[in-house]
Amino acid sequence: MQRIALMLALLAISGLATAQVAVGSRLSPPELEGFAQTGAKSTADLAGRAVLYEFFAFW
Amino acid sequence: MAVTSEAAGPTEKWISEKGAKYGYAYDKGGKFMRACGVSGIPHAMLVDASGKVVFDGGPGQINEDMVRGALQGALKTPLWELPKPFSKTRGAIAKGDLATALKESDALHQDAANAEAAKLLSEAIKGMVSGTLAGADALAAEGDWLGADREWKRLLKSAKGLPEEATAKSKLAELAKNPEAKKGLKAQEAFEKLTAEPVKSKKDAEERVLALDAFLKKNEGTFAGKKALEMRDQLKEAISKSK
Repeated sequence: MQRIALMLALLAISGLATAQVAVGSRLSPPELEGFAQTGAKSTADLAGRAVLYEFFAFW
Repeated sequence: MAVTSEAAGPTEKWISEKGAKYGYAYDKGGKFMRACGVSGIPHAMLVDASGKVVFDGGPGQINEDMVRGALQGALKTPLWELPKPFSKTRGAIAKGDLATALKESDALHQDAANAEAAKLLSEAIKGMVSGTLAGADALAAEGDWLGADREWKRLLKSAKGLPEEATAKSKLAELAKNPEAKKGLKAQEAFEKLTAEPVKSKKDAEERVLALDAFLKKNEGTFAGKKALEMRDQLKEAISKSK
């Protein structure tokens, strides 16, 4: 439980402390890898489409 | 597109156990997540067809209007599903060369078998170009000169020969003659440099707060100064919560 609390605190701090992509700004295609369950092989394949990125984790 | 910085093995197991059918990809080292300022999970970001971020926050806050807006001008068929005659257009879009993509797509308007799809695609590409220009203008109006500068420069490459290229050139020339905009742009570059490294510990976070304080003394009132102030206050709050 303590590990989870520490992870969440670090995640919050880390996310806040780096420059952020803001609503209204343009998102440079992110460097993602290992695409699965989609025909896309890279984010370049998503050009011209509306994309919903959802960040997830499990522990 | 679901994104995780978890390892592949446990992720695949988890996806399989949950029966999740959506597409997913890996953000190795959490680079994308940090660039987006994600401070909690789950977190969502909705990006429209021109690449503009239209929502950033908790997935439950996304509504139908946001999705409808994001879909305007979007390709109805993903690039990888377009038939073979579209391969040149597809390649050009993937490279960000929208002028060539439009030229190739327009050439298919006379091809009876692909005319309808080609016309839709041409409109989508035009939307991507005009959306980029409109997005750059909106950034400049907010004082985000660095963002606008990057978008206009992107148009110089992606929209060669299109009217938007000339507009972008003219906007960049205006920026170069505007001392306030130049000062704001330099402050944003310094802010990016200051915040480039990830914070990995509470000590790092405390040092970042001090660095932001020093930055604020020099850049108060600028777009970057406002961002720094917001970040410093949120960071202080996160540090106090982690005690």
